[in-house]
Amino acid sequence: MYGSFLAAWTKLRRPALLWGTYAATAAVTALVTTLTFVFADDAAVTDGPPRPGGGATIESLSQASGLLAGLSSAVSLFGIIALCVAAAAFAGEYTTGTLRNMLVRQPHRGRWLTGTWAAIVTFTVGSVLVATVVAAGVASALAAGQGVDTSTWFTADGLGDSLRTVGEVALATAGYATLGSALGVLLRASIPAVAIGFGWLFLVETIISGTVDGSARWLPGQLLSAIASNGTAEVTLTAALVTAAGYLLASAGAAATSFVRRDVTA
Amino acid sequence: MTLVDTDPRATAPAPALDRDVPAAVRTTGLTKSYGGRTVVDALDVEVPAGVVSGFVGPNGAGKTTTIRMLLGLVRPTSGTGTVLGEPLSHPGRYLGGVGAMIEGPAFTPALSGRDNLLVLARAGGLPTARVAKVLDRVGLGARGDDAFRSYSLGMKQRLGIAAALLPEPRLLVLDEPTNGLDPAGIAQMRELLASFRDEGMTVLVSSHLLAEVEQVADHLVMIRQGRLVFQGTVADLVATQHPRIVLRTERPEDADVLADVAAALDWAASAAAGEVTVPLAAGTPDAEAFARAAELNRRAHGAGVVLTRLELERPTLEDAFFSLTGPGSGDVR
Repeated sequence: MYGSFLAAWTKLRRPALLWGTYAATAAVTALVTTLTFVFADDAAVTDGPPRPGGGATIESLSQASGLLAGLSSAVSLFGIIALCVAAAAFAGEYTTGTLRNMLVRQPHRGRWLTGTWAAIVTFTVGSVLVATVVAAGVASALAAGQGVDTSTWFTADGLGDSLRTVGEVALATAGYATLGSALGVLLRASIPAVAIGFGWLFLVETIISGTVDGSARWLPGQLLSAIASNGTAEVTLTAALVTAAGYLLASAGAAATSFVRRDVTA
Repeated sequence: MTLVDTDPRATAPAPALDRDVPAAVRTTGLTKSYGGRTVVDALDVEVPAGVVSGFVGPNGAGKTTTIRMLLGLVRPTSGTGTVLGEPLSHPGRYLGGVGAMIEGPAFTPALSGRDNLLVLARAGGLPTARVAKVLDRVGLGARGDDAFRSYSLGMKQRLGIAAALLPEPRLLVLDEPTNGLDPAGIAQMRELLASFRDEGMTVLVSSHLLAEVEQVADHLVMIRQGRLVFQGTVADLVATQHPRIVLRTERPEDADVLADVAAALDWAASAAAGEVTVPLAAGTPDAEAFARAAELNRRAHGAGVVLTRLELERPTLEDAFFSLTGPGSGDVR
């Protein structure tokens, strides 16, 4: 399995993919963090259209968790990137025909699948770590100009909150990568896998959760977002973790079963 | 040698295989069906260790599906088999000693040739030092750091061979390795295959280019429509075919005279377009064939017929294939 992990990383570390993905993640994080601080209001706004930056307030940004507020807000974008990378990585093995070579060298399919999945997850978590640095840097640079009090950010509580935020965002991103991996394995083609994953998680779910009360407690994409936000008013962190884990185990199980049993004709 | 009646209705059993002879590949009743369509049909194949075995048949004959079953990529519908003495049902036990290139070289276009091989070496837990060695072996040492997508077709094929050589295989399985190669590339591939045999590897090389296989293989497995047509040595196969003496006369009208000369010797002969063909019995020794040719020359001279051509034509693998399978055997050249 470790060999498959290293093999997958040999592909993932090619400069265009590695630095392209990490640069895109950093740019998105910088943009979201900037919007969060620039459009922060003095008090919470409860009416009117959604505001850029997710409606953060100067007060909420001055709390211990304010340093990485931009990171949590950008989780959907990290999710899109993770989903695309994972789906394309697995589906690409079929479309380029490289899977047959891999499975001749590593005939234990479960080991190859697990090692490759682990490499993709670490790749996407790496992008979250890059984003963390960017979010912290941009927040620190903008805070004074926006009147945000940063005194609690670097206390023990503040650093603890930041670590928790990074962990939750990384967990959510790994979840998106797992769903993307499952779609790539099951559909064996990048474009359908990305289209279905993106369409459901980021379009259909957004519509359903906006129109059906309580649906965010059951929709996988909404649950992963809730994990990144340390829970929401609609679903607690624990409930989100448990339900999302169910979805991930089911999708990973279906993909693994199909992968191990199916003939490789590509 | 196994020669099988190709009539799909025929049920005559193939001669029993010798179970005591060491074989690199052995299958019994190997079958693969997709839905109601049988792609590989009860294949009993035996490839002796240490030979270059040509796996031939038209496109769509079931060669690639058979190879995929041998490599654990496709699960047989029924039948059993062994590769390097281990059962097909446990490919993990034997694939460490097998190198393969299936349906052409498949690599990640954006990665260099070297990195593509590194991927495979790492996946298989092989020493990464093997990468440089196999690149040198196929003549790609100087281009190993270039992106795979920048390679010519011949270089891509050679990288595919390099990948197959990574595990220092005892069995090398190559599926259509000369596809798309120019004559120089084909000649290089032929030299490589011969060198693998000299090193003691068993090479199973599938192709629909019979002339190519004939030049390099010493053993053949011939299939059509998923069924075994022949297996054995090339010499065995050719020995089942009829050589012939072909003569051309200086004056076309003398061809009939020459045919009569042959008939006077009780040798069947046919004349057409200034050429006379005298078929010989299958397995006629060379010495006897040449003696007959000399006798015909002598008698032609005596009859005042001047020859411009006198040749003993031995049947090619292609002739043998079509004589076994009949015309319309698909895309075989």
